[in-house]
Amino acid sequence: MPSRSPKQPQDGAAADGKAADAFDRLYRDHVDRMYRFARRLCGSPEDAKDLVQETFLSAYRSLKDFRGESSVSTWLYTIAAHACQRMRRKRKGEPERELSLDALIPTSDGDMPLQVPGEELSPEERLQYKELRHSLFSAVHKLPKKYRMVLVLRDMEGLSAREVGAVMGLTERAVKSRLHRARLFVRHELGGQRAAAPAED
Amino acid sequence: MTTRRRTVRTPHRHSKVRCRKILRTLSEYLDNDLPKSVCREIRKHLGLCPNCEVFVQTLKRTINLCQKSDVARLTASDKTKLRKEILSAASRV
Repeated sequence: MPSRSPKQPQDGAAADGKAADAFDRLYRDHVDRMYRFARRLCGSPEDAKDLVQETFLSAYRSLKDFRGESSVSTWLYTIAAHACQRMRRKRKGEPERELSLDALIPTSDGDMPLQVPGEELSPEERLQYKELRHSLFSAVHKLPKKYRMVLVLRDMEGLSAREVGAVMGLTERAVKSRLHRARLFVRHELGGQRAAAPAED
Repeated sequence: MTTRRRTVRTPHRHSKVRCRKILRTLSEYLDNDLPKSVCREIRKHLGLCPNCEVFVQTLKRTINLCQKSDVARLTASDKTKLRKEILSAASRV
């Protein structure tokens, strides 16, 4: 159960009170978005909560320095991306591997075709679609983190390549290169699934 | 009389090298990040190469699937608990 914080601000804490108000607003407006991002990035709910906590803790400490040069959400994504790197280093995860474009582009005609679904989805196809979403989640989590971060920010969170570059400290060119590899990898992983997503208009 | 050997030319010469070159640019093609003339060339190739056409369709589906993916939300009590933990950690420093 939530515990209520005392209503009275602490001594001489007008500034602190202001900061707390600003934090509350920030938290209320962005916690859902940051948790969604963290879940997509980390996979498990517990790791995602840890990342959200780290992110908002850092944001709380640097709120007074935020000058509005980027949008608040881009600023929070940047903090979360750094926090994620820090947490990863702490856990001493396996070193990042590179994705080779050549390995992801088919070399023979035979391994290129993948079934494309029809326009309408039957109940059975809906079930397959659900399974496909599950496979997508697994495929995304097989991606090395630096590729996963780009894919999640660009294709799932909907940031532009430029914004992703700002969050990750990369050039737009580098973002596009990683994004293409990440998409090809996920496509390749989903290749085993003969079901596919419903067609777009 | 000289006989001239006539070479039969197909309108589009399928080339694996060309396919691979195109497959390398498909994300930018799908994101509309390429110049119009390059897009025209790619469209022309896709119309003539069924394998690349299938590849581009499946890549497009993969991107759509990512764009539509959703994850579970935090519960209201988790949000409150997390907020409390953040403020408590902030006050310790």
